[in-house]
Amino acid sequence: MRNLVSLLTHFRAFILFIFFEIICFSIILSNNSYQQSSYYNSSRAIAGKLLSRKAKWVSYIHLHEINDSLVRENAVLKQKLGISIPANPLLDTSYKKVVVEDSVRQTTNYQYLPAKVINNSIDKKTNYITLDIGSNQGVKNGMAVISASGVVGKITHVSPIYSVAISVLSEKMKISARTPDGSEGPVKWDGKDPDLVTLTGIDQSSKIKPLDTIYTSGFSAFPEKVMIGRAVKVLGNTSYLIWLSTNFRKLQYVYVVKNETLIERTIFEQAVEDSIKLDNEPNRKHEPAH
Amino acid sequence: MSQPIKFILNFIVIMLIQLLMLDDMTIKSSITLFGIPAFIPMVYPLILLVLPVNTPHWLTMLLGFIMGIIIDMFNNTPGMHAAAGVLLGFVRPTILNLFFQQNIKELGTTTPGLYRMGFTSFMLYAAMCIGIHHLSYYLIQDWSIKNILWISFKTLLSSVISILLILISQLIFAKRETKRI
Repeated sequence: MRNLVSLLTHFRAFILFIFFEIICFSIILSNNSYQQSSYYNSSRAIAGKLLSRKAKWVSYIHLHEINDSLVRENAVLKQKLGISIPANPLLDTSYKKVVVEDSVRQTTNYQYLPAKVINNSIDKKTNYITLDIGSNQGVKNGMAVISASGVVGKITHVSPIYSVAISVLSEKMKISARTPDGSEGPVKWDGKDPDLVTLTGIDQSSKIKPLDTIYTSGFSAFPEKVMIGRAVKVLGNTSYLIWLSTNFRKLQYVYVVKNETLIERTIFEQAVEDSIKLDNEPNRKHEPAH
Repeated sequence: MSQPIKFILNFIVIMLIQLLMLDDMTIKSSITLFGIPAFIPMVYPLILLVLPVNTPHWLTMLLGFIMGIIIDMFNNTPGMHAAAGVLLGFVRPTILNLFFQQNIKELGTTTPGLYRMGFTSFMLYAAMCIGIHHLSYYLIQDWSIKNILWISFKTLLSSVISILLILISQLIFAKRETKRI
């Protein structure tokens, strides 16, 4: 017994070391899949407050760039709307105040919530972005995050005032992409260059030239036709190197995409999956629902 | 100023510098364009490096764990910095013993610093500690030895910048003392 005690006191530092490392690695492993939420994330109030204060100071430096990007985005949106603005509506006699009601409301599938990036990284294997809006503003897990120039990520942790999104620059993240000629494949990051991602699984028959634009396919949480980037290099028969259109180094403002039909879609898909499962089990009887 | 208060202040200041300034360094640079990996300098191990030499072993490990978990919380890297910090806390007394002739238990509350240890000794001490910390951190983050060359390149780059920053901080803040050990 005395020997055992002396052994333990002799190795007490090592035992403590093992104890601490077990705690650390259990935290690491519990967070290995990105849907599993860990308590230690930057959406917590203390971390979020400090980071948002820092972002407030830093954002003054970038006001010029932010203004430029907003004007450019506005120009693109105006072009899409195709509205020519009358010179002066008061002098224009043909002007009548007619509000056209949108009779087909189902077309608005997506709602965009503006958010400010308060923390961002590009140097890790799995990069996360902290945003200054949370569940109070209607952010939920799994929502897509886009910027004015392209895809950004997907929400993984939500707290009342802050939320954390996994960025496209993560090895755990996959986006379904569509090429100009209609073939689809997943886009993944290889963990090295924060400007480049790889597009794989494209048909050999479809030819993609450099500078072809790659968009999202709309199969995942992302809306359809959000730009991912441009093809720069052919890696093999079926894989291509894509230059991301979003500059992750200068990410300042993003939009969280609230998909109004996503809940319905997931419930429907779940129901289909369940019914297939039931069909495969012949012994089980269908019980009528009460 | 009594020593515990000094170290609490040290802890807070170094943490704030790491979290508010250094973590953003990659974002503004574009050096990753030329095939150089994106990395951030990590100077927060300096908190452990400048603890008095007679700090209990359990306390260095506990401090390594606490500072790691705080950095993890801000960076969304759960447990990774903490694991590296605990490892650094564990190996620190062994590394210190290499640079002091006497047994470190007899030295009392001496703090290892640039002027106290001499330039070469301090740089070697810092390089060993930072190297172990950074290498373990990048290995844990990658979770494989498939890209070992990539990881060591990243470790080297990141350690060089971290050691330079630590040297600068020592030149500014360390007490000038002629007595060497």
